[in-house]
Amino acid sequence: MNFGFSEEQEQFREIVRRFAEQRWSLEGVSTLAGADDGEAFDWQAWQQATGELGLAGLLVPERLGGAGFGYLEMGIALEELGRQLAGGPLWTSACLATGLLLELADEEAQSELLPPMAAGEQLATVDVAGYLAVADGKLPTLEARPGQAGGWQINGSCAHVPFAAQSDLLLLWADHEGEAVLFAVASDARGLTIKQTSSLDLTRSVGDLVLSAVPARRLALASGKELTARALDRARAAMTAEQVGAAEACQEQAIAWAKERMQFSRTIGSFQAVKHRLADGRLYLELARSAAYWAWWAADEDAAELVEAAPLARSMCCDAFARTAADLIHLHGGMGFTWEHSAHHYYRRARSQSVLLGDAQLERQRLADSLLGG
Amino acid sequence: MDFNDSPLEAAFRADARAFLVENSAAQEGANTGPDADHEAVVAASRRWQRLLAEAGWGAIMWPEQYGGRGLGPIEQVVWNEELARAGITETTLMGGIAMAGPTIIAYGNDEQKSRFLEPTLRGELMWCQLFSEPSAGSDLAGLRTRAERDGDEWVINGQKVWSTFADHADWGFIIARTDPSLPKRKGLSYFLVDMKTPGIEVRPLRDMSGGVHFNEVFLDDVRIPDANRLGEQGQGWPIARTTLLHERMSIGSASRMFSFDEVLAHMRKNIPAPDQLLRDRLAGLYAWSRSLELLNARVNTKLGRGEDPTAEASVMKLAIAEIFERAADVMMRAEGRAALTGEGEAQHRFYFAPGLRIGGGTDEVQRNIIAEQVLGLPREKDPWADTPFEDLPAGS
Repeated sequence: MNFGFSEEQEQFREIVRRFAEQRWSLEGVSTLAGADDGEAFDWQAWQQATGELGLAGLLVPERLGGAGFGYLEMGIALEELGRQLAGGPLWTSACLATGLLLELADEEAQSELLPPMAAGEQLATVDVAGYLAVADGKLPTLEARPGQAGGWQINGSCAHVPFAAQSDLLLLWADHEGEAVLFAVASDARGLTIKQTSSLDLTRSVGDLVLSAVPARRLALASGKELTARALDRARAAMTAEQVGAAEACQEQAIAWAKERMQFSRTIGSFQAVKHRLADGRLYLELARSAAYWAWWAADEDAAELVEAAPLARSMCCDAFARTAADLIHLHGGMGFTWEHSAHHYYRRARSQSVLLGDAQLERQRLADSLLGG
Repeated sequence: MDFNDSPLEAAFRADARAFLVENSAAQEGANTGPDADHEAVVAASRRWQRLLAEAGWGAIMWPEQYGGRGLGPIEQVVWNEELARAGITETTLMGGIAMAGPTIIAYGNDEQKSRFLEPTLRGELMWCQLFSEPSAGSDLAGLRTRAERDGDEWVINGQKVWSTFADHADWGFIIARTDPSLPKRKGLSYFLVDMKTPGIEVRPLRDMSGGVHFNEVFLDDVRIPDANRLGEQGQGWPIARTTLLHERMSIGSASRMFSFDEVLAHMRKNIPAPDQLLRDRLAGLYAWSRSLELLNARVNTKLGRGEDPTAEASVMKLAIAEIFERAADVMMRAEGRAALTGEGEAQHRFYFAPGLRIGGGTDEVQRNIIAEQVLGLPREKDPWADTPFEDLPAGS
């Protein structure tokens, strides 16, 4: 048993941390949030993260233009970016969509779609609701039918797709005669309407799709339903990294403020009521981090424990992040409640991540299923 | 990062398992349970500990020169896991193996080490803790038991409480005030005391589970030789903190105190189709207990690298109290109205749970340690910290 990172991994962490702190200031998030388009994400910084650091290609094998690393390195990157509310589409495109494409039996599609994604030149996203339904053995709501010349067409609509309007490639599950099939759709395909809606997390857009006979490319998965669910579990495990990083940042910022802010002629961090709140936050954070690291490892090793580790870690991380984000606001008092302060961005991020893949309670239900049977 | 055993750990685990498979029958009767006859449990524990010591399993982390196995915290975890797997939860001798022993190794002189360590390892010396007092609980340094020098002896007077198994222990480790003219943390010294010394009276206390684990210990002109003083005069507080850290570590890492599999088995037996609420609580309990095991493993990796585990010990102690309470809750819920009967494993845990939030440092004390020593928040100023003990206001 060795519960530590290698020296190379620690160095990689340093590099990403320095980059995130230099390029993704929290003030920047707040400034962007005040802008008219309301999207607090720095796309130039994203270009740098993918171009210079190659973060989008961490999970992609070298022969497909990636770095050929695993979930431990991806976890480190997401954790460090998560601290600064950076990351943007890294999870959606480089974990969720990439993980799915890596399951393809179709090498031609892989060598066409993955290299530009790994290079950060193209963004991909996934209809998360459809994916969750399929992984649970249900049918997606989109419908597919064969089109002309061996092609396919998709009809229907789906909502709340992360980075829908910014993505070049959409991975959608559709129902073809009672079977769930995965398709790739180009964002400029005819018949496709993408409407960006307002977003709970101001650093991450969401959008709704309406598809009317949209031409699509059928993607053949190498594996059955079970392995699709495992790919989703790996994405779950990866999300805990952003949650842990952000929760830690919330706790650090709250502590720093508690040491500085004076009331009653003493720092508020000298009051036991404040100390105990922060100590409890630390308890949640340390437990969550321990579970998260286990989940990354299980994702990397494709260990049998993944089916347990992913929901377990997410349940702990959802709770820890929600708690520390709420504490960050609370300990800043009225100032923490203002639009200008960055605390609400963590608060929004925490809830939006809970909603997107299912909250702590839902993860516990999954865990109970694996403990007791469904 | 690798959650599988390394080749060395795997070999150690295989050795441990082989030993336990062959010998665990010899441990029968040594587990403490709700209705255990302590006299018999202690006798069985001593026999088992002797067997362990002779086979080289007596104390995994003690240095080899003192009869230990000289291994690290990770091997201790492996050993604990294998004990749990073999159904062994014996804890009556932990006062010696996990608390007195490591403290003597850290602060004892050569004579004390050769006198106490080996018999402790062999289960011949059972130890009890004589720290808390009726007026010194969380504020342990405010203790009033006096030790006065008389030639080559110390004369101890006072009262101790919450001393687990003091009614069976051969020896106790005690902190007493040797100089009331000094501030309260400075005037304390640490002693080892033979529980058969005249003037010691042990009165068992019945706790809320109905069981008798604790004792009050009255000390009336108890004379002990200066050779039984551990460390320097006035050094009692830092030495006591060493003992308390070992206590916290042994509680927080106590996979032996809590087995999720037992809770799961109890639930399966009592309620074949638990409702959503109960499933949620069960999964939440599992998530916490598994995360605590993982945190423990992270701490052990740190320890293996020579880093300080003080901080995490408090986090783990806080977590185990929470987890134990949740386990009791799940088990009681699984029984439904059958929980109205007062006896059983679920009830035993239910009665025991509140104590775990108190013993070994209360939840609040652990939170203060986390806040001040881990998070670096300002220390609570004790306005009396520099006042001579004898000048402190009455009742403080």
